[in-house]
Amino acid sequence: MVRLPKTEFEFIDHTIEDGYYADRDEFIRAAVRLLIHDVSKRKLSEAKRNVKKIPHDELLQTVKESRKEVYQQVWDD
Amino acid sequence: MIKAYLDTNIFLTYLNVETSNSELVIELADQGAYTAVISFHTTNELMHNIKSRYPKNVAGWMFAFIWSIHGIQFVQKEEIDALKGLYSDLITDMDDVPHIHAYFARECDYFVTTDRRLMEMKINEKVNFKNPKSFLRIIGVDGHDTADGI
Repeated sequence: MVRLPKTEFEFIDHTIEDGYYADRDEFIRAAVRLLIHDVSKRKLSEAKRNVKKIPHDELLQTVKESRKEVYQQVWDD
Repeated sequence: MIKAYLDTNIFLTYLNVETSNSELVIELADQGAYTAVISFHTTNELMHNIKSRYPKNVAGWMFAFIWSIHGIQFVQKEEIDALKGLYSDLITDMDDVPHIHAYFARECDYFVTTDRRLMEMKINEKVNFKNPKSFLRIIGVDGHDTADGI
């Protein structure tokens, strides 16, 4: 159950009538997804600013190492 | 619609480089310019890598960010296992196999990676590898001039 002003429910119902969403649940799920995306993007931008960058070749090397380890964890059991 | 498998290094380059074509590749997926595909294995690798280099919570935010990308598809372990052995003679490193199989499992059009080593493997006869810059051109975006198109 979500509490919203009547006008906002009217707006949601218009988007449903226009075929953008199947029902109120779908509208609200999409809105939640967008908010999570927005906040996580901002958090990652902060992390980008605060972390020391490494050369791309070094990045690829760390990816390769983690790829080996994760592969062993998942498939070598 | 174009379907592209995004390698783990696309997301790590996005975090590691201030302005990159990898970032544009992710943003265009979010705008619905193409369908992005990753696998459960990509998220495993990302979490493993990010936890070792970044402060607490960044891995969680990355997971939330990826999960909420518009229309993104996740290839499951069972789909990858179902292709066991396929083209294994063309893939140099065993640990790259799950990503190649995930690409085939969802019948992707492109495999976007910043790793030249992958593009030079024999499997490039079967897999349409693109660096981020080349992939952006395919979807009509110029992108940034960066070393190796990252």
